[in-house]
Amino acid sequence: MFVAEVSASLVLLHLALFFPAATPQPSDLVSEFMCPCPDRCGKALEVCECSDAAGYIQELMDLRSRGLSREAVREKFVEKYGPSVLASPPAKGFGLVVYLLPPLAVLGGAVLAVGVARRWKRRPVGAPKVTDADLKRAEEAMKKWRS
Amino acid sequence: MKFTYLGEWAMRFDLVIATLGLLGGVWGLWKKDGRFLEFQRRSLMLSCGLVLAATVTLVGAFFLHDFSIRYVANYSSLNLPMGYCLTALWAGQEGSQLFWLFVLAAFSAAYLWVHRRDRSDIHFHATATVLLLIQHFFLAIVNFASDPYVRLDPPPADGNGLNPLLQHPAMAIHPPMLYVGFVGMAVPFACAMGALLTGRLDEGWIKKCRSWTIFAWTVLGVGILLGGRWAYDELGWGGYWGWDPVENSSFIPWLTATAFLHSVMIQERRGMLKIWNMSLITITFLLTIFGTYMTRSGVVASVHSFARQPMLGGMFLVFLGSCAAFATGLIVWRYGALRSERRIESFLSREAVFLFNNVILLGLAFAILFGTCFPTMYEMVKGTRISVGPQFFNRVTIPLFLILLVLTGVGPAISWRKATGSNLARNFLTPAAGAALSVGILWAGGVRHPKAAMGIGCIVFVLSCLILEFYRDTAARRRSTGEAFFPAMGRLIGKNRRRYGGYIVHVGVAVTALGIVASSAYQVEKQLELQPGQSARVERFRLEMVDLTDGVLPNAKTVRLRLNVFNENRPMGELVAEKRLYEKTEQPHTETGVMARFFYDLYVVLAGWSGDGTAMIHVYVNPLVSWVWLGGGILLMGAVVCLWPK
Repeated sequence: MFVAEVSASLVLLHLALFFPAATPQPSDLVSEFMCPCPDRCGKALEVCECSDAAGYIQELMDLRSRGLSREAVREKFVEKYGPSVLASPPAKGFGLVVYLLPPLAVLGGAVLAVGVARRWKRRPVGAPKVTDADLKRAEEAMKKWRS
Repeated sequence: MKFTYLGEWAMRFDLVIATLGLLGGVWGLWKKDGRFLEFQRRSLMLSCGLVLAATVTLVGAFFLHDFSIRYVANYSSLNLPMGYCLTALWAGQEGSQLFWLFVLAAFSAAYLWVHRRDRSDIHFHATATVLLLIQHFFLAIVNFASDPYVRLDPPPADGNGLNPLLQHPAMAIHPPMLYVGFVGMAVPFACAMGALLTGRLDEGWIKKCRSWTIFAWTVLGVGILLGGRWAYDELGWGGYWGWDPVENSSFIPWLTATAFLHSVMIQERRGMLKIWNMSLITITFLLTIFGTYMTRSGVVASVHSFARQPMLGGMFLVFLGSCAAFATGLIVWRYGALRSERRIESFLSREAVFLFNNVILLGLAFAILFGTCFPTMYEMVKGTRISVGPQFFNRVTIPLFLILLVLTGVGPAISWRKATGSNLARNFLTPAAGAALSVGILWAGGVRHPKAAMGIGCIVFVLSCLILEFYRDTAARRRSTGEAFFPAMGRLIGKNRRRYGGYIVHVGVAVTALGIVASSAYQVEKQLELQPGQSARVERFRLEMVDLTDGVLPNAKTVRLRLNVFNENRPMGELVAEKRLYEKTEQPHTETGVMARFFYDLYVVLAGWSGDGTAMIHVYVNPLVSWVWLGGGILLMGAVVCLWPK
């Protein structure tokens, strides 16, 4: 146990010493956008290999270097390329569904599981029907085990 | 070439054989007539042989450059290296479907052979009927909708060539592994449906399909990791998982299969969750079909969308709906016989933890599926297209993954039926202290990334729980046998392979998770512009540009960047990154330069260059990326331990 925790600590120490707190990277901004190329490739901009991708990234960087805030860059891009350029759907109107439904589904599943388990706890479940064949198999198993 | 007609005829004739066999099987099951069931078995065997002939012939056509077959002309060329003539089989729609069918036929044949002693058992034949039914669907696809043997007359002198993204060694292994993982889920599904059809609902079907499920799950998991490795090497963005719709569609059934592997243990031990298990394996199988539909129909755009054919979508949807209706009908029919035999005694028990692990896994699967399909749904409702990218998936799934990680540690250590306070303290106090210590170390070291700190805390907790379990069980064995530590541990694992193999798998998951957390939270990226002889620093590394040269490969032109790398001032070696322009497709393609070390990867991409010899370079320092692949290796080792025959 001690060895495991010491090893884990060494790895963490390594991370702490050599890779100190991540600073915002250019890709942090890029990761907020999808590639808006005319082919509608549907790929995240930072992953996209299409010939236009580098141009869009440069456009983002130019807007940023002109002193525009993140929000302003987003607005400019949406204005120019439409809402599908954003990597996350807008958290309003129907777009809110995608943020709310998954956590609600997990919560609902958990409540359902607890509810069903509680019902099981209250209601003794009938013992399974034991057939003659089951008894015979059990006797044979017992004999085998004793021998 | 005339021999290719052999494969084509085999494929056509197979549809007749499979239809006859299926009819025989259904009649035999209905009338409980052994002669018809035996006819079905032989038909299935023959059908597998014919699929093999059809597939081998098409591969042969690739090797012999038979461009009279349209599929061969579309996905290969005379200058395609021989090694990639095999991978070209799954480069396009038609070949992919044939390959799916081939893998299914191989699984069906393996099932018939492995369980050959159960030929007097009706469940054996019912399972074969379901397998034949699935095979029949794919035979219909390759014969009517996606024919790989369509001819060209006159044949072209050369083919169109293979997509450059597929010209990578991982592509020789990754797609087949995903296919094997996907198709492998058909066997447990068929076993479950066979049990429902025949009313043999004891634990027999679970025991029968356990190894098949573990095998398919492992291969799918390793296949997903290999896909990550391919993306890391080939896509040149410094990462390995982009939440691409097709990546997601392979990950979702893996999650539900993981839930199934855990919940069947509750059925075996406690006779509970019978309906749930039937439903889970059905959902898993349906998701594999849905994944194939997503890849093949073109309904979503993806980095993997090599082969879109929208008309296939309808066929897949009909099959999907029919399978869902068939399984639901059978479960409703057998509802009475699927009631639980026991009850949960306490929420502090292993069965309760497994139940919550199932809820989280299903929740994850749902979140990813919903996010993947949401752009299409949004377009249907609002009429405009939106995107759901990596940011959304990270935001929604990370909390669930953290809970799942904690359960990965708690599950193996908590008692069945009811855990007492002393059991909890004994098993979880030390791991919790280790987790707190690790977060403290990170904080003291100046790393104040809350999500990463939480992730690493959870991972240390999991690893501590598992190592504590191994240590205690080995110590107990040493006390009773007097063996030395490692032989005692080896024998302990050998005596209960399934249990300890499972623990090893959990260790693999934790190690992979550590790699993912570290490489995501602590990645450093820098963009450089260098000329030959110039150097620049990225963190503690110094990169010195050697040269930028043009080159020629048999099927591509290349521009090659060479860099000398120094750690502080210590030479580490040379890194080479390339841009390739493939002749046939005229697509530019990145070959990254990766210097992989145990604690970090130095990852270089040649982004562009100018006439004066200046190279634009993206440099990434990715901590612990190797641990992602290492974790996959440990997971594979654990699965082999589980599957090792007694």
